[in-house]
Amino acid sequence: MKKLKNIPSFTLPVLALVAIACLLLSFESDFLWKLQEEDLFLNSTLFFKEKMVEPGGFLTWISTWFTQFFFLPWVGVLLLCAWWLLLMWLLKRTFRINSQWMPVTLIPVLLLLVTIVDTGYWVYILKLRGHAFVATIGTTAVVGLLWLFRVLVERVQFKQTLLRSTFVLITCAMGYPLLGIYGLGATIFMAIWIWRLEKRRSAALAISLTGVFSAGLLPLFFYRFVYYQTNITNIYVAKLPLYFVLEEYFSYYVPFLLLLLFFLVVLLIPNSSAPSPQGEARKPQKQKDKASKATTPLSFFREMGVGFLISLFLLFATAVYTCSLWYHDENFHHELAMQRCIDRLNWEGVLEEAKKQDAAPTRAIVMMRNLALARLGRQGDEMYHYKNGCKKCEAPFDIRAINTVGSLIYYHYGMPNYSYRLEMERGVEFGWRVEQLKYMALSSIINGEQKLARKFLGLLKQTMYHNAWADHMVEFTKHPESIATSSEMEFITHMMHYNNALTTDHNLVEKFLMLRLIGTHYTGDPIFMEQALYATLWAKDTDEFWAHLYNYTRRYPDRQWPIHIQEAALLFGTMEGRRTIDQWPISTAVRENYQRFDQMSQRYDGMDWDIINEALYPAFGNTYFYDYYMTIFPAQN
Amino acid sequence: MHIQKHTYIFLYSIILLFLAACSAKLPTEYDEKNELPKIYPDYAGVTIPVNIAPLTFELDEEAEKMVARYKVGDIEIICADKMQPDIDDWRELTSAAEGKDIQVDVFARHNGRWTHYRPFSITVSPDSIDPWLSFRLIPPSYVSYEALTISQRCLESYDESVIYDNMLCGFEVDGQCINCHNYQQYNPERMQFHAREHCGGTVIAYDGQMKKVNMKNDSIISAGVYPAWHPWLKLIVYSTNHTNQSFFTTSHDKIEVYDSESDLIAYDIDKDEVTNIENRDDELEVFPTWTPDGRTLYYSSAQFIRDPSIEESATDIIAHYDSLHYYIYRKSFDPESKLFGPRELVFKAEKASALLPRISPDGRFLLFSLADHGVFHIWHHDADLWMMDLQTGKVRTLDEVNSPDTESYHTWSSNGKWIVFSSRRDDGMYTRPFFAHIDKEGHFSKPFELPTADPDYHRQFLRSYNIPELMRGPVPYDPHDFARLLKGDGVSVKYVQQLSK
Repeated sequence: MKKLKNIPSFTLPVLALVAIACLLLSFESDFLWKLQEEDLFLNSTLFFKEKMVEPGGFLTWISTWFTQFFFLPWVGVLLLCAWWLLLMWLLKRTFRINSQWMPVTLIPVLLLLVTIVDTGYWVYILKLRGHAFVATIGTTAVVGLLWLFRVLVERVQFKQTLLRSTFVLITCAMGYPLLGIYGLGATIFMAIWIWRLEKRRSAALAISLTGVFSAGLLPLFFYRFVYYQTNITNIYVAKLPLYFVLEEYFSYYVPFLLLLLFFLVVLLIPNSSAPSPQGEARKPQKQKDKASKATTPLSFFREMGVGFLISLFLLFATAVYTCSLWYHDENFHHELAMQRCIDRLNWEGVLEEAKKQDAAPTRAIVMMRNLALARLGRQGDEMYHYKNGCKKCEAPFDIRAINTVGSLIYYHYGMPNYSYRLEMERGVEFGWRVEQLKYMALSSIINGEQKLARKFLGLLKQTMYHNAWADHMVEFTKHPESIATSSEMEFITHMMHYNNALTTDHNLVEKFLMLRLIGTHYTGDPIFMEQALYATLWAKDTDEFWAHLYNYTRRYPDRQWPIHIQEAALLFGTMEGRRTIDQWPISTAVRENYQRFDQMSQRYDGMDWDIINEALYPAFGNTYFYDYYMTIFPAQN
Repeated sequence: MHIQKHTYIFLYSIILLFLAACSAKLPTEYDEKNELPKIYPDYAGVTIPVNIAPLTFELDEEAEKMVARYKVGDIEIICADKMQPDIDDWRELTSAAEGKDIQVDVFARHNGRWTHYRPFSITVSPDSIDPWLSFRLIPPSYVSYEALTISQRCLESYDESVIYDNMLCGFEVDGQCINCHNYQQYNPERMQFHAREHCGGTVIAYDGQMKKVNMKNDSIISAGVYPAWHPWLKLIVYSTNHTNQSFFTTSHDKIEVYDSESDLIAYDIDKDEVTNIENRDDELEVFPTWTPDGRTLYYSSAQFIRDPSIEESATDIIAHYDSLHYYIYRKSFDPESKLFGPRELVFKAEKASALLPRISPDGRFLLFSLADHGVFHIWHHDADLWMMDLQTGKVRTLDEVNSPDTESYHTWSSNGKWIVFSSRRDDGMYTRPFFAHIDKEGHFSKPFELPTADPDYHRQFLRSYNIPELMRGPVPYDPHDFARLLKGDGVSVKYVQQLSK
């Protein structure tokens, strides 16, 4: 047991950090990658200046710098954990936390972790840049400032009240513009802490009042004379994420409030670990530690004291709280994994992810999967081989496919105008992100707007991890003729044959795309024509199906009909009693399958949908027959 | 000690960098190349006002290094990497060059060898330009807006400040759009702009007095939109518009902005009276502007006869968007009686749409924007500037000014020697202000882009300059005063059949 006793006080926190890092990398690798895609750091003076026009701008700037490392999730996690380790070390030093209370230093870390892992679909719309690091760096800065304050209180013995008040004032005056709410937090914490650090009540009162007034008034001063781009509603909460979509979602602020509570407890509750007034640091505990001679597990805990057990309990409670808020929606994670695969043009990877699907998928998943099948030339034969569905995104607010994958889908299906527009609107509303600049550059390239593409690529060149991609894409702007033969864009060039129309998508990306495909009877490209045919299957529009199939067959008579087209032709032909159906190029397997489907569905005629579905899905879930009769999706995407 | 040494080296390097930026030396050995250098912004052969801020530029091609020189007589400025002259050096240079040319030499190093490009000149006109420019900074988005500012920039330096920022009043769902800043005769103390949505209204500031006006009234189709201050009366003419937008699936124009209804109204600032001055059912009137003598109002108008079988006017317009052609009209105005005369056709383009008429301060030239169709030329890539000589009636396209991309919003300097206009020539999307000099015969010089401290600034900047308006000085009002005003109630207007004298 002696060995246990000799374990350094940081062992448990370090082990916990290793565990957190492993969990993040195992379960949230795609999410971490997405965090940096939905963020932006540019290595330019203009970017720095633009960040500094708001209170806390420096905190955003430095946080976005760290966030970019999530491009390689393990690097980002390593940096995040390094910050958390620094935070714990500062907590220990600042509040002189002894070994038995060391587990509590993990509590703020877990609360900070919650603010990241509970993000979910907010990742698409959070306006705070560098979100994953802002709270961590801000909190660390708060503790660092408190440490400096304590050192000042304990070591500087002349003009104490004046110096301490000045320090509090400077903390606020510099902390607010640099760190936003965290600068104010540090000021207020000093105003509270001084009552425990300072014996003289009048001095404590003076310093405390300095803190309270500066935290209350300086933001107003900055609002009035410095920051013209901040609403007064935001001046005291600058650099807190805003969980607002038509209404405020208060529950997401709870981890921040618990963080505040943690600091209030540490600052206010007298305990054995707190520093003594006027620098009389407690040493007896250390001596006691040295003197202890624990030999059994029970005596170890006894030796460590009740405090250790309490801190372990608190830590456990926080860990449970963290787990309960960890966002683990299956569809959200599938969507992210698919987006990451598409970013790497790993179309097989998208299908691998689709195979893992358990729950009913969102339309974003279905669309990305169909895109992958289309890119691999297998959509016509396999698109009903995967789980279908239209589950709503598991978010407390209304978020649709257009918000998550709208620009991706528009771009890959050859509608650069709408892809560009969507990213422009998102950039304006939610702030610029890597992903937006990428899709705006890509859309401009395939749209022949090379000068515009170079603008966005020029910005991406200022990033650490996307500059190589930008360099690669610049070549397309110099040699647009190579677009049609490139592996990444060739498919898209086949899709750019839509009729020009003055219209709008009403935020329904799938419906809009399908109707545009159906409405375009272009016959110059087999890939475009096949996509138009698949769109008629989606719309279950028999008239348009025949029109497109007629064009397709006439234009490409030697092409074999994809299986799902055969199924649709057989189904619609039978429904309409077409006599030549036997002469159509439909395989025997498809005909036999349809016959079985027909017989079976007649057997279940009149029964509940659930019963019919249970009977038909195992055998026919991978056919268009099943899709036609059994899937009814509201047009919400 | 080790740290100190490094600190000194670092600081020394920084100082050297600063000193080296514009005290570089020209290469002594180089190859001559009989081509103009590719620089951004393109300042080769432009004419600039004597009081303009230093022109900065960068090489627009890959090179290991660039050195450039501005030279007038014995005075020269040499900079390395980017041409960024010190403002005092620049003042000395332009003073010496007034009425003459600045010679520009550009050297670039490729694979260790220097190349000297064909020198070019920048002509320094003794005609100065109004020292301040105001504009709205807005991302070229379509539907969304978030942070918008009406800002002002000193043209003699790089100083820029915010006149008003919508974030002072708008927040999330209570968002606020701001637009249409306008001045009476370049006077920054007499300005107006609109706020829409949250805390909406028209802000009018006049010699230190401010008021918020709620211009909505049952007798007019909307609050005032595009304004035109009378040159001396406290009177503003507006168009009132129901504006919509739709999006092209494949056209490079991407968007079509159109009015389903529009009229002209006049507003008396002191009496808060408003009246219709053009409200024909079959016409879409827009973009009014006054002649400098205040006796004629110019505007654009398109005939649009509604199809009774189509219920929604917007749907009707969409169906005919490419046949909407605006012509330029004018109406006489009697400043004494405040009565307007009948309309008179000034310019009818053949299958084209002429908008944004602007009369030169001497009353001789009518400058306007022309494109194939429609009302919102900033989104039309084919939009160009045209000019009519009102003495001769001759109309011509300004080839010396136009580019293959959009040229749209434009205005004259107070001395009539310069125009500022919006152009999307840099990248086809982000509007930048360009300036051009006009001589007595009505010929323009090659336009130049608004100079910036860092020549790469406009390439990185993700907002457009919207509605560039020249001013004699900076707007003296505080953004918070505007915000306070907007948060309060506005004065309601009174509709009258005719403005009282």
